[in-house]
Amino acid sequence: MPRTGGDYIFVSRTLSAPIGFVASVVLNLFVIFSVGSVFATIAPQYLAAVFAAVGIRSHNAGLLNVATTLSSPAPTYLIGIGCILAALIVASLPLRTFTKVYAILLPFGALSLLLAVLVLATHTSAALTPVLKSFHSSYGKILSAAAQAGYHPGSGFNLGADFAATPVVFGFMGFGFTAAYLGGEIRRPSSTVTRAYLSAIGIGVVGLLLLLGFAAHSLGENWIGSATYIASADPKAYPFPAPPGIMLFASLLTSNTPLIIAMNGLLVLLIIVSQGPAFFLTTRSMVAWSFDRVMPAKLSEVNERTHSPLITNFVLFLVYCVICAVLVWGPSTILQLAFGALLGQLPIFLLVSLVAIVIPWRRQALYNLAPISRRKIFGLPAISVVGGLAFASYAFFFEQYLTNNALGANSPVVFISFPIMLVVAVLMYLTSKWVNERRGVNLSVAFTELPPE
Amino acid sequence: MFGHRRESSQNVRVFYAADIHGSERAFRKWVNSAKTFELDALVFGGDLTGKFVVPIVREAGGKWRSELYEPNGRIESEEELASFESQLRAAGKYPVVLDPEEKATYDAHPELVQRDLFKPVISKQTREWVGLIGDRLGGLRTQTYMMLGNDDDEEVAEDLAEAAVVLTDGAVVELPGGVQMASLGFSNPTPWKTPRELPEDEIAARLDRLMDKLSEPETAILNVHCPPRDTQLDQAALLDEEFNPRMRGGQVLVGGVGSSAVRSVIDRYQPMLSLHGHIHESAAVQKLGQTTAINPGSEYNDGILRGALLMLDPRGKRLKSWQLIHG
Repeated sequence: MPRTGGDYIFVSRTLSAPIGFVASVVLNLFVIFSVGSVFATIAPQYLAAVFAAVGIRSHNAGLLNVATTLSSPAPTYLIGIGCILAALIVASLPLRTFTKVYAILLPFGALSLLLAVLVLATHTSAALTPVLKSFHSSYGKILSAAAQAGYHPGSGFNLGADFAATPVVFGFMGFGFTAAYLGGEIRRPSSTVTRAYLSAIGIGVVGLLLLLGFAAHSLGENWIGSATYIASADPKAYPFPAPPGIMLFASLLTSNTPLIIAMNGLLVLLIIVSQGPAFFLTTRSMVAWSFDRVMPAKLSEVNERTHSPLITNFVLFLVYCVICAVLVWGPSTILQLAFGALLGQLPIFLLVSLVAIVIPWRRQALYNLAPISRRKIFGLPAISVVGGLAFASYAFFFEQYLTNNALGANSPVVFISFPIMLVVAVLMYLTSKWVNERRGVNLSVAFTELPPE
Repeated sequence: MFGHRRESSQNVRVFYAADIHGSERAFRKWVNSAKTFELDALVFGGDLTGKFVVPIVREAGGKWRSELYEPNGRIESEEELASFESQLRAAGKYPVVLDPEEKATYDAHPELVQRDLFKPVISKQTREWVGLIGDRLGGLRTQTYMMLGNDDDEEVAEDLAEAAVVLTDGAVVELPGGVQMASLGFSNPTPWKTPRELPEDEIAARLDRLMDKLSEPETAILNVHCPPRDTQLDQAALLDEEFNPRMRGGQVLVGGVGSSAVRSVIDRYQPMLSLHGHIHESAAVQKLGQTTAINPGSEYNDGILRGALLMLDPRGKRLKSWQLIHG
C-alpha cells in the first residue's frame, strides 16, 4: 500500500496541516458529487435506454413501463449504489489484479462508444420517424415545442463547447490527479504517466469528436438540444420514456436489439471500471488523513492479503450512499453540483500550483535536498516556473468555467456549495483537533519541521 | 514553541526514530526533538551511520571535482565546496577530500576504502554527535536510549558508549515511569549482507531471552530494528540477484521482508507496543492482536526526520496515544 496522498501531503507540508486537510476535503467532496452523479445516471440514462429502445421497436408496453420505472428515484438509487459497490470491489482488488481487470474490461467498455459511433454514422434522423410517430410526435414537433418553451439554439447542446470541455478537463485534471495520487504506484511515472495521458487525451479527443460529430450530423445539434431542453422545461412534449442522452438517441435509431443491449450494457461496464482511479483519489486521501490522526486510525488499516484499505473503502461506500440519495431525491438543482464539480475543484488546484511556486522558499531545506532543485528555467526554480504556468492555466479555466454558460458549470448551486463544503471541512478539522487534544495528540505538529540547528 | 499543552505529569512522552543513516540534518532534528516535544524519553532504533563516502578530488587552481556535483562536477570555490559538503552531510553521505593520487589508490584498491575512509569518518561523526547529545540534552530531563542497527558497524558502539545515553541493544531497560523496553538491533539476512545480521533462529533465541527478563511482557515495549514479517511495516520491493526490483506485468513486486522470529515473538508475548525501523518505505501503524506495532519510516536522504511521538500511561501500563511525525 503506497503512501501517496497527493495534494494533501504537498499542501500540508508546505503551508500547514489544517489548510492541507481543508483543501483535500473540499476537493474530495466535489469529486464524490461528480462521480456519484455518474452512477446516479446509470439506470435512467443507459439501462432505461435499452428497455425504451427495445420496447419501442417491438411495441412492447411492458418494456416501456420498465424503462419508465428505471427512471424513477428508487430504482435509480439502488442500481446506482449497486454499481458503486461493484466498482469499489474492483478497486479493492490487489493492485496487480486490478490492473489486469482494468486492462481487460476497459477496452470492452470503450467498445460501447465505438458501437454508438457506428450507429450514429450509419443512420439519419429519418430513422427516428417511426419511433416518434408511435409517441404521437415528430422531429419538427420537438423543435417547435422547445422553441415555444424558450429554447434558443446553441444554448443547450453545443458541439464546440462539449467537445472542448471534456478533453480539457481530462487533460489538466487527469494529469493532476494521477500524478499526485497514483504516481507512487506506477513504474517510472515520469515517462509512463506522460505517455499514458497523452495517448488517453488523443483517444478521448478522437472518440468524442466522432461521437458528438456524428450525433450532430445524424440528429442535428438543434434537435438534440431541443429534446434535452423540453425534457425538463416541457415534459409533456418530451415523448420518450427515458431521460434524454446521446446513448438513448443512438439506441432509438436502430432496431437491432443485441446492438442496443451491447451499446448500453458495455457503457455501464465502462463506468464501473473507469471510476476506480476516482475512488483511489479519495481512499488515498482518507488514508493520508488517518496517518496524520486527523481521521480515525482505523482508516489507514490495510488488508494484508489485498493491500487495500478495506475499511476506508467501506466508509467511502457509505458516503456515496448518502451523496447518491441527495442526488436522486434532492432538488434537481443539486445535480448542477455534478457539472459544477470542476469549478469547485479548480480553486484547490490553484492552491496546489501556488504551493509549487513558493516551496523553494517556504521549505528551503527540503527543496534543496530534492533532485528537482537542480533544475532551473531562466535561472528560476523549475518547480516554481511550472507551478506558475499551472496557476495561469488553471486561472484561465477557472475564468472560463465561471463565465461561459455553455460549459454549464457556473450555477448558483456551485457558488453556494463551495463555501458550505469549506465550512464542513473546517468543522471536521476542528472537531478532530478537539478530540485528539483530549487524547494528548497535537495535530499541528505532524508536519512541523523540527529545528535542524 | 508549537503551542501544545503539557498533559498531566503521569504520562510519559516518548519520541522514537530510526534509520537516520548519517544524515546530519535528521540527527540534529532528532536531538532537538527532546526540547521541542518536552520529552521524557528519546529513543533511537538503529541504523545511525551512513552508507556512502563521496570523494571530492582536489584539482589545480584551488578547484575540486566530484561526480555528484551538478551540473558538470566541477566545484569552483571554497564556498561551493562548503555548500556541497553540507548538502551531502544533510543527506547522510560522507564527503572526503582527496588528492588525485589518493583517489587513484582507492580506485585501484577498493578494499582500503572501508578501513581508511569509511571507518574514520563514521567514528569522527559519531564522536561529534556524542558531543551534541551532551550539549543539547545535558540540561533536560530527557533520558536518551540508543542502539545500533544492522547497517552499523560494531565499533560505533564504542564511540556511543562515551555519550550520556543508555545503550539498549540486547538489553532490557526501564523508561521513565517504569515501563520496560526490550531491544534488539540486529536484522534477519538481507541481500546486502550488512554488518549486523542474524539468522532467524538466532534472532528468536535472543528475543526469547530478552522477553524472559521482562516482569510483564504484555505491558512492555519491544524495540526491535527489524519489523515483523508480512505486516504493513515490512513491505519492500522484492529484488533479483543483481538488486534490481523484480517486475511482473509492469508492476514492481512488493512483499514482506521482515523477520518471522520478530512476528512470532509479538504474536506470543503481545507486548503493549513494538517499535521498528529498517524498511524505510513501509511507514505504518498496525495492530497485531493487542500490540500496536509502529514503523515511522525514514526520509533521511531528504533531511526529513520521521518518527513516532508516543504518550505512555505508566500507571495504567498502556499506550495512550501515538502520532507519526514528519519533522
